[in-house]
Amino acid sequence: MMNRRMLFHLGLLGSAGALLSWPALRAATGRASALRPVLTPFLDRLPLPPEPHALDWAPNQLPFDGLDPEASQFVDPSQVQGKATFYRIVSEVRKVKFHSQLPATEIWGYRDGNLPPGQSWDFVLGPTFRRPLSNHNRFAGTIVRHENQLPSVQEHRGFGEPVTTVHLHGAHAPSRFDGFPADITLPDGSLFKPTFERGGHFDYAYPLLDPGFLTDGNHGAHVERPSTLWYHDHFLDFTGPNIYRGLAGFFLVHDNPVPDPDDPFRAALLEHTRDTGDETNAAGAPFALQLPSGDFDVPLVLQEKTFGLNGELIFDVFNTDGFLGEQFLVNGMVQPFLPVKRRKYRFRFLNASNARIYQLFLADRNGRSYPMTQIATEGGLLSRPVPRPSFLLGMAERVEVVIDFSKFPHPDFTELYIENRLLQDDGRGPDGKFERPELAARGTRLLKFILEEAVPDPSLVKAELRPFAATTALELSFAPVRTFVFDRTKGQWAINGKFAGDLSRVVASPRLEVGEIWRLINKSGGWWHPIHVHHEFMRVLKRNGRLPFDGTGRDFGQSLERDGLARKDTVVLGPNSEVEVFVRFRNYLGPFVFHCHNMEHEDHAMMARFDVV
Amino acid sequence: MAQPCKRADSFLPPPWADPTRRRFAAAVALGLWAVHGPVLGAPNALPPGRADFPNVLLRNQDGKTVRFYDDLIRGDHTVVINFIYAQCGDICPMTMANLARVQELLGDRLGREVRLASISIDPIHDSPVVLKAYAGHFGARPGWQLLTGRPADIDLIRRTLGVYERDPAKDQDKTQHTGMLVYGNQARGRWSRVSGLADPRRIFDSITRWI
Repeated sequence: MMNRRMLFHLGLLGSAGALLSWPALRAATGRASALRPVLTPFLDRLPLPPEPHALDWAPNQLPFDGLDPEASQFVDPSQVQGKATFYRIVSEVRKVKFHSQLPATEIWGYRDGNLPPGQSWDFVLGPTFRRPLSNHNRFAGTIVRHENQLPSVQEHRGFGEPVTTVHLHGAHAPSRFDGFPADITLPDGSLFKPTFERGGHFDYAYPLLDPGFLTDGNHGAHVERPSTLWYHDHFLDFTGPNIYRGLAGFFLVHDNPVPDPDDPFRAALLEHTRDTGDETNAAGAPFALQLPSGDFDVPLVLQEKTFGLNGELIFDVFNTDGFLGEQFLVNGMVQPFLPVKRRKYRFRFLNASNARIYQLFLADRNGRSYPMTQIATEGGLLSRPVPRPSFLLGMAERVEVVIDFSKFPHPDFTELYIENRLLQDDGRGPDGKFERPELAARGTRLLKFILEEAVPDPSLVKAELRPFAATTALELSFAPVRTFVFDRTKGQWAINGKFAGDLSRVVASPRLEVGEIWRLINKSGGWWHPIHVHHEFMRVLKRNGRLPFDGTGRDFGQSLERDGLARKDTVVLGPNSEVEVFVRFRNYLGPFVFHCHNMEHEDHAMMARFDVV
Repeated sequence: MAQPCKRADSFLPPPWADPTRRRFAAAVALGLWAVHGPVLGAPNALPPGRADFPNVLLRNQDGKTVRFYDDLIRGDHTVVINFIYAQCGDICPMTMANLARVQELLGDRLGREVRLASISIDPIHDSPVVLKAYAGHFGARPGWQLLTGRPADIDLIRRTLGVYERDPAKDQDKTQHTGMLVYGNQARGRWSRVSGLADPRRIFDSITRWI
C-alpha cells in the first residue's frame, strides 16, 4: 500500500503536485522494469541543432553520383540558370543525452552527413535547415540526399521499423519527394518505391517555389509561403515509433531578399519579400518585416518520452489510442532552460508528440500568465499579428509567437516559463472540447526562460504581416465538395467507413488547379483527430457551422484558422466536430496522403491516399 | 511592464473545482490501482517477452491445449491474432474469409513462418467442437488455430494486446469487438496491426515483412 513515507523516499513529497503524476507513483509499485527515473527540471540548456553544411560543387561536377532523374529536373549542372544547394543527411543509431541525470540513450536520428572531420552530432534532432525560397527559379532549390544507416530489418530488435521515407511536412513539392509512406504501383503501371532500408538512399528535390508558379499568370501565389516546416519519417504503420526514436528535424524557410537579376518578373516579388530572416534588413528590402532573427529566432519542438532507469526509450507497442510519454521534452531535452536577453524573440512552436495536445501559456513563477503575439501558423505568416493569452497546439501544428522580454524588467522578473495547462490523461485526447478545452490552474512547465540583460533590439512586429484575401464566394461556388468522416467502429479507425488504410486504393482524385471544399467530420465523442493534408495548405471556411476563430471575441486559446488570416496544413478535429476547408492542389500530379496526425491513429489505418490528376 | 492576463483570460477555475486537488486524488487513485491492478500492458524497455504476455491455457479446434505465450507467441515467427465468435454476423465471417485468402498466399509458410490464431470472445458458447465446424467452413489448415478458453483469460489477452475499449459498456458489446489483426514477432520485439478487412495482399505484405 502506498503511504506518505514511500512518497518521501521517492523524493516526491517536496516537489509537490506538479511532479506527482501517476507514472512516478507507479515507479514504487510495479516490477523492476517499470521503475522510472525522477528527473529535476531546468538543469539542462535548450539544445539548438545547427544548420547542415551544404556540399559545394563546381559546374558540371554534381556532388552526387546517380542523382535521381526526377530530382535532376531541378538541377542545372552548368549552374548557368541557377545553382541548387545539396545536402547529405544520414539516419543512424547514436547515443544522446536527454537529461543530465539520465545515462545516454540510444536513438535513431538524422545527422548532417557533411560534418567537418572531428565534429560529432550529439543532438537527437536532425540539423535545422534554414533555406531561402527560390523566387521564380526552379534551379535554385534544395536537394537533400537521405541515406539510411540504421540497422537492417533483420538485425533490428524492438519497436519501430528501420525502413525510411522522409516527409517534408508543410512543403509544396512533387509527389516523388513527398515521402510517400509505402511502395506502390502507379496508375501507369510503373513501380514507385519511395522507401529505403539500410544502405539505401533517396534524393529529395525541394524546389521551394510558390504554389502556382508559372501556371497562374502571376508566377506563383507569393502570399502562400510557409515559414516553419519539419521533416520526419513517414513509413507506413511505423511512423509513430520511428519519430519517437528520434527521426525528426526542423526545416525553416524565409523569403529570399536577393532576387535573381535576370528574373523578368522580379518586380512582382518586391512587396512579397517580407520574412527575410534578417531583423536588420541589410539588403534594404522595402517591405521587410524585420522580425526577430538569428539567435533571437528559436524553433521549439515539443515531444514526450518515457525512459527506463538506464536511460533507454520506452514505448508501448500495444497502445493504439495514442502514446503519452512521462517526460516532457523541448528540442530533445527534458524540461530545459534558455537564457534570454530582454528584447523580442521569435519562437516557432511545433508539436511533434505522438498523441499529446498542448495549451501553452507564458507564465511567471507564481503562475500569472502574460500574453504572447502570434505571428504565424503552419501556413506561414498571418495577415496580421494577434495577441494571445494562450494557444492550443495539436500534433504537427505550428504556432509562431513573438515574446518581448523587455516588458519584464529587472528585478521584478528573473524567469518565465512556457507552461502546458491542458488536461489529458490518455491518447484519445484532452478533456473538454476544441472550443473550450479543460485546463488546470497550474500546468507542467516545459521550458524556463532565464532573463538576462537588456540589449538593443532592431526587430519589429508590424501591424501587417503577410496579408492575403480570403477565398472568394465565386471560387467556392464552383468548388466540388468531398466529405471525409473520421470514425472509430469495431475497434478500428475508419475514413468514410472504410477500414483498409490501404494506399494502393485511391479515395479521391482532385483535379489539378481546381479548388475543392473538403468537409472533415469527427462524429465520435471522446476522440480528437488532428487531420493533416499533404501538399497544399487548407483555408478553413467553417467550424461546426460557424466562422472559424480569427482572434476577435473571447480567446480560449483555440487555433487561429479563419481564411484570410491563416492557412493550415493540420486542422484539429475535436470531439463531435465538423470543419469545412478549401484546398487547391497545384503544380504537381500524383499520389499524396492525408491522415490523422495522432501517430498511433495514423499507424493504424487512419490514412488515405488521394491522387492529383 | 508586462501586465498579466486578466482573470477571465487565465482560466482560473471556479472555487469548487481545484484541479490540483483533483489531480492529486486521481494520482492516489491510480497509485492504488497500480498496487492491486495488473501491470500487464505497461510499456517496457525491452522487446515484449515472457513477462508481458500471460501464459494462459487455451484450447484449439482439435481440443488440444495451447499455452498462449509458450506455444503461440514465443519464437522467431510472426503470429497473427484476431478475435472472433461463431455467432458473429458480419465482421467475423468477412475477416475469416479474408484470412482464408491470406492463408492461400502464405502457402507452406503457414505454421512455419506465420501462425494464425483466431481467438473466441464468446468462449462459453464457442467450444472446440463449434470452432472445428467454424474452421472447416473457412478451410483452415494446420497453422491456423481457432482458440477458446476461460473468459477471464481471454479478457487478459485482449488487455495485454491493447485490444479493448476504454468505455466498459462498449468493451462488453461483442458486436463492437475489434476487426484489427494484431501481428508481431516476439523474438524481434516488433508488433503492429492491420485491418482484417484490408486487401489480402496488404495483409500478406504486412505479416511477412520480417521474414
